[in-house]
Amino acid sequence: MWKVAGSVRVGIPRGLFWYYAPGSYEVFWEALGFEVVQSPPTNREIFEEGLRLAHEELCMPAKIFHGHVAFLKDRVDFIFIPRIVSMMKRRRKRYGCPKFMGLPELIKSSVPSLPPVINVDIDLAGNSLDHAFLSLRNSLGLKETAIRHAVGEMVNFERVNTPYATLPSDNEKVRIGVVGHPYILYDPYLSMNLLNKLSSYVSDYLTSAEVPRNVIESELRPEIDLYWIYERELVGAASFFVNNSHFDGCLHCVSFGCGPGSVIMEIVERKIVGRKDFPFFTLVMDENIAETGLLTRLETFCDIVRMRKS
Amino acid sequence: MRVGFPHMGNFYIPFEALLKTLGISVVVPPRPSRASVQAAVRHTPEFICFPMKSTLGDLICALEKGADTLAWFEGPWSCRFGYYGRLHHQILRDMGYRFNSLLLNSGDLMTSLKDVRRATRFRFSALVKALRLSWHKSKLVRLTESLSRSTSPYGKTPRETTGIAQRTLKMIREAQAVRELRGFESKIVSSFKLIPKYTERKPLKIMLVGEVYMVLEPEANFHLVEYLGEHQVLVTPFTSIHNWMFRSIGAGKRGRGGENATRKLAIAHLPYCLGGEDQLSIGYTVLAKKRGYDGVIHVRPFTCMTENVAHPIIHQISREYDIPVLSFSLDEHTESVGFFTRVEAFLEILDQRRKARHQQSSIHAVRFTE
Repeated sequence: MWKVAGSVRVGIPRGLFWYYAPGSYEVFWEALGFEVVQSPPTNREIFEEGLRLAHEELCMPAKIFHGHVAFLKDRVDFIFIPRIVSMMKRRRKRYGCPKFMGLPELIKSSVPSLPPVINVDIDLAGNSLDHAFLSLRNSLGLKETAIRHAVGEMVNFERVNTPYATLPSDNEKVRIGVVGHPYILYDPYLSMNLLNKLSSYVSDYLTSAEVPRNVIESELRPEIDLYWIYERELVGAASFFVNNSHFDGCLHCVSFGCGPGSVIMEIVERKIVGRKDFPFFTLVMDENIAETGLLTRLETFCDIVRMRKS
Repeated sequence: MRVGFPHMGNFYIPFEALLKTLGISVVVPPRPSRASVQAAVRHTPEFICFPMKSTLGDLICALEKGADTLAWFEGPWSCRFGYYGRLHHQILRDMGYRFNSLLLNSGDLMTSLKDVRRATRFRFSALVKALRLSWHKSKLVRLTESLSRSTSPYGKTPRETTGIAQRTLKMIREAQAVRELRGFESKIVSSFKLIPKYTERKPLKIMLVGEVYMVLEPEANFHLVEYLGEHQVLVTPFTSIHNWMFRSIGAGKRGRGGENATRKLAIAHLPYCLGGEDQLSIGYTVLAKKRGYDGVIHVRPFTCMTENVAHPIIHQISREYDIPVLSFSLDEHTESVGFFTRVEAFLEILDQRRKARHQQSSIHAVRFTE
């Protein structure tokens, strides 16, 4: 389509898939010579536009994603939405959330007057990352060598070992583990600044995204093993937090209507925490949650954790 | 060992035959009801889908009736259905029930089949016989259901068809071997032919798409198929128990209007199967337009992962192809009154549309003759 990519603007919505590889899609498009336009962190306008456009039964992050796309649609020449089927290099089938798998079509059917939506099918169970992005040869008329080079630039893509993961080894601090999808936890507007609030109540916390992959895989015993790639991370991390003596409590943050969330909520509560004497708290978020209610519950939970510690 | 399993429409007829032929005694729970669902809802996750809650209710009933083993499937699907067995059994254990789990894992079929065999001591030679019997039974069930649907809109006494269908299903259920089923097919066809009909009626045609449990389980969709039949509507669900049970060996896939051909229609709108009936719902909506249906009813459980992605796409198709679609998101809180008010209004709209279309075409005809 575009032979000279210089002034073509590609829009990357800041939501859902972006939080699993922050920065790397931008690197990819910039390496190809496109101008990258990103939607800003969620704000009130994006939030409300998302709620207005999206089908009412989707989970909150998926609704807000519509708002990010709507923000970009008049500012860019095309919007990039990858279809993420599987991110695990395994022969056995592993899937992501169905909402991620149908995201490009979901957006196209819900957001009116869109610029072209460019998508790549990322299914690392069957194909390599290069292979996924090579489909852009046809849709955008890019050169194969350029694509391969740009994919090589995406160093941060698979978080095999998160660089900032330093697992705690001391027992002095009051420390809680936070389990939740990164697209909720790291979006300050959606999570109502949960992580910041947490740091003012307890001295230390670790999120599920910060737990290294090898720790997660070793925690997944057959009875809590899952096929969902994103939820493996959550369940593995929850099991790690509950069974590790350096942690004094575990907070599970899930959005209402999250499909896999409803299953792992049960698996974590019944199979991992079970009858154990360990403070565990599930926080269900939706678009109607009030900040004071959240604060009260969070404060109570942190008080319990602190009291148990002393 | 007495094995219990959940309901889904008339699924119990072929599945009971399958287990019985393997030499396993079976406890068929009573049909799901409001009470059984309510008993389950107290123990299930808050926003899990309705089929999971309803089938848990069946399992509670089965255990109360004396089942000591629960059988179900699990597998590596992206849909939550793959985890039902595991969740059900854990919840029931936490409730204090004691039983054995038989989970047939489709992701690791041979290993889990061996486990099942160790637990039940069935013979592999019996497996072929059992599968054959349940194949034939489910096929006859499919025939009965489809004849009942196509007869009921023309019936002079609306309830008569339902009665005949129920009697036929009972006969199918009672047959013990494949040879007893010989000649059943023509017998069923002729018994439906005998029903007095108003052949001059022109019923509305509606396609029923959506999540498979909500489509096939009458208790989940307020007996929608029966209701539509009695209101002189020709309704076609997109699948059947037979096709669902034996789809892995190709049932209902081939031919025009089969699964494979319909999936192709959906690919332009959703190129990837999300792991549920999403592509089929979309495909059959397109097919409904192509085959001249008057409308589509789309039913899904509240918070269904795949159908909720399909829902906006189906409505886009509805606008694009000009075919009316009525969507329902159902769970244990849905009231039948509100449900049927919407269905009635929808039928009224379809009727008006059809009349308008006829008028237009007759106007065209007049102009042409002038």
